[in-house]
Amino acid sequence: MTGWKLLAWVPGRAIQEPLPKPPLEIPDAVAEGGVLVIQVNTGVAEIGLVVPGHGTVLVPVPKDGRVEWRVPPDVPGGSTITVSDRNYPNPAGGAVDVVGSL
Amino acid sequence: MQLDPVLVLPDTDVPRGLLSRRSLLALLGAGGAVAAGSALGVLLTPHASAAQRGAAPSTLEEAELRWARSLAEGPLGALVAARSPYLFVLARTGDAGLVDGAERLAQLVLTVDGPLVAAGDREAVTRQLVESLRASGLVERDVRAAALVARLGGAR
Repeated sequence: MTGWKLLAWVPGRAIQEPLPKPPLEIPDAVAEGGVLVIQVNTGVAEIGLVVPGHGTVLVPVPKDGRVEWRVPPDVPGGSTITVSDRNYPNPAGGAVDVVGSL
Repeated sequence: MQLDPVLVLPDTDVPRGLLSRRSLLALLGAGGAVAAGSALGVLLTPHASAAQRGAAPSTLEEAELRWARSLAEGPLGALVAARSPYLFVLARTGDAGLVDGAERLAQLVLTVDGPLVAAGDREAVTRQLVESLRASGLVERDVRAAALVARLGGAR
């Protein structure tokens, strides 16, 4: 039932529709030097990151909304990358922990 | 005295198109001078041309700064919910006015029984705060930002 909600219950038959997607699908963690994969569902052209030691970084969003961004190797485990879709006035965002290994 | 009738005829030796051609040349000359003057003006005013080039990005940055400033002064729950986009704006713009919101968030994570931020999220929010303040460049030029990073244990 994950990702679906029950619209109505008819004996012997359930009518369901998919739940709306969240604006950003962000993993909880990414490995040091690994690829950060973020699914953007808001149609923005680029997302913004705060990367420890690198300041803010703007990453373009491809047409399918799947952003793949390589974490610089000098970003250490135990730090956090902040994500924003810059979709004002209702921006979405989150935090991704950088870990030594997943 | 006798008045003789005089018939005035156009001078057939002068071609008809000559005057209009002169006008056209004058018009083109004036237009060229205006265009050259405009181009020279743009070249000699670097600030104006830079502003024109940066028109689109500054609009987005103005919008995000306006949004963040209103969030910093608004309800605490909204600030906590939108902390990641807020901290991104703080880091990107380096706006000293946004330190107010960072201080409100820091107060939450520094309070042991503070509401709104789950215990498991406190460490991550603390790291986000410290890293955003450092990325903003405010730690070097704003006393409150520097003090906040020190309070959050930013030296680690």
